Amino acid sequence: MPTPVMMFDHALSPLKGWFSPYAIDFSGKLDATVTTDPVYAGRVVHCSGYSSTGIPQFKPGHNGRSVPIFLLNGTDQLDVNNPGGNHWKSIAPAGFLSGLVGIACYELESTEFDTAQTYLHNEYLRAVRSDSAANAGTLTNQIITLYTTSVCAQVSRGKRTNQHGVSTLSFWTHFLPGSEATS
Amino acid sequence: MPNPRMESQMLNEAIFEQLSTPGQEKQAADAINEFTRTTMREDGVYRKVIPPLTITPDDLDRQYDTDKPSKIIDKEPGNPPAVSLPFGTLPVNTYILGPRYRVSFDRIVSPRFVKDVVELQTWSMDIRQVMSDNAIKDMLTEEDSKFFATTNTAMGGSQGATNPTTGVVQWQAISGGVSRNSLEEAKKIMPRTPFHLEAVTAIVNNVTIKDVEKWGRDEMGGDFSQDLVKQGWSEKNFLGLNFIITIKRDLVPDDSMFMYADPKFIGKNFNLEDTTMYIKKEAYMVEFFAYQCSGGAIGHSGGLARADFT
Repeated sequence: MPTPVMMFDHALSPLKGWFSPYAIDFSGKLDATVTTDPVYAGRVVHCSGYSSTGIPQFKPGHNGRSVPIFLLNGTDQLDVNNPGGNHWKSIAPAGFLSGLVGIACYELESTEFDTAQTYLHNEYLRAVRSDSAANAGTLTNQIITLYTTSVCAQVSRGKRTNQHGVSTLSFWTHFLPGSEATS
Repeated sequence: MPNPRMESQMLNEAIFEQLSTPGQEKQAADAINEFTRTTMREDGVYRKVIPPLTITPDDLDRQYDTDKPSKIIDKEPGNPPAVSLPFGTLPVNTYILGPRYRVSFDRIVSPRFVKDVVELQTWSMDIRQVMSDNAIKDMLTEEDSKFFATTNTAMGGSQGATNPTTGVVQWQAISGGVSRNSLEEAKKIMPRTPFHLEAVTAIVNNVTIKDVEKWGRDEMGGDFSQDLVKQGWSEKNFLGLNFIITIKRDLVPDDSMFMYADPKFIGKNFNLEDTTMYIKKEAYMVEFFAYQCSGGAIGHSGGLARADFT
């Protein structure tokens, strides 16, 4: 029997800058080519293009000049998806994700990061770019060459264990595009 | 052949007549200032197929792993069949188990309209009212968009696909154009499933229905054909179905007909927050947007059918 997953196990907590009607957020659907499942709240995605009906398509992580978007909700949440297999088909919700755009200024706290690393104040962070890896879209301070690797944030308060007993990383959103290829 | 010069002259004469008649100045002014509309909008179709039920927070079912609202709905279980037995034999046991499905919710919102109030004063029409009325109709269109997309998915996702729940192709191509024969063939789709349902509601668009207006006397059966030629289509009941004609041709394509059983055989449509208009005025800036929270699911795909007439 799998261990129950709690609503705070995978989450994004905006510490500063949101909730506001003037906050920069962006909505779209996960690109059909993405096999990472689920893409949790707190992970990073970028807009990779638009569907034939004009709906933004999201892919996990970011690189090159792709603007990072920090997900407020994940594909496993009931206001995004309500999968029923052959037993039911949900009319609402319709698969839309939304997130905070990384070129705006927020202080965020996420559960979706490489917990094996040590994080120093002001360190640069990037998000793993992959359409299939289990850690796609998670934050890490590893293998970052400034101005080559695309950066999405800098560490603020750092790593801690929150009131729910879950490991989190706090950071300020800060987008620095890199010269690496955009994929 | 229309004569624009004569029509314009008649309009001008009508306006001058109103201007010169005491008390008619305002009517003339209204006629001059009445704004020109550009787009036809209609009420929602989804709400006519599955009427919405208001649900309160007390009706929601709590989940341990999320605080997002959801509602669990029981579904009729299947029964093993009755059998014949000789004497001295007891029937086999069947432990009672049954299916349920989950309805979850999201928000539909209009754009957030913003304006300096001074600039609003230069409009002769009430632009705020026009935009908010249109925004609410656009929200109903968003509901319809999700409903038809889910209908197509529940039937198997494409024309000719077998519905894995029923084992029947419920989205079929039917040759012969839009004729009495082809419409009756379309009505046969739903009863072919193991659930023996009959279509109660049919939806076509406002282009497709014009092919029905072409039916001659022998195809239509009597004077109704003459009435259609004179007055156009206005029927709500036809072929034993409640007919809904929609202008949303992007959702209900030309030469396609969606059919639905009684809503109790299809699913649920819940309203958690009814359509609400948020308005805020700060100094000389006004902003407003509309929002609603609703949920829906198709719990049983046996009550759906679609015919594409070729």
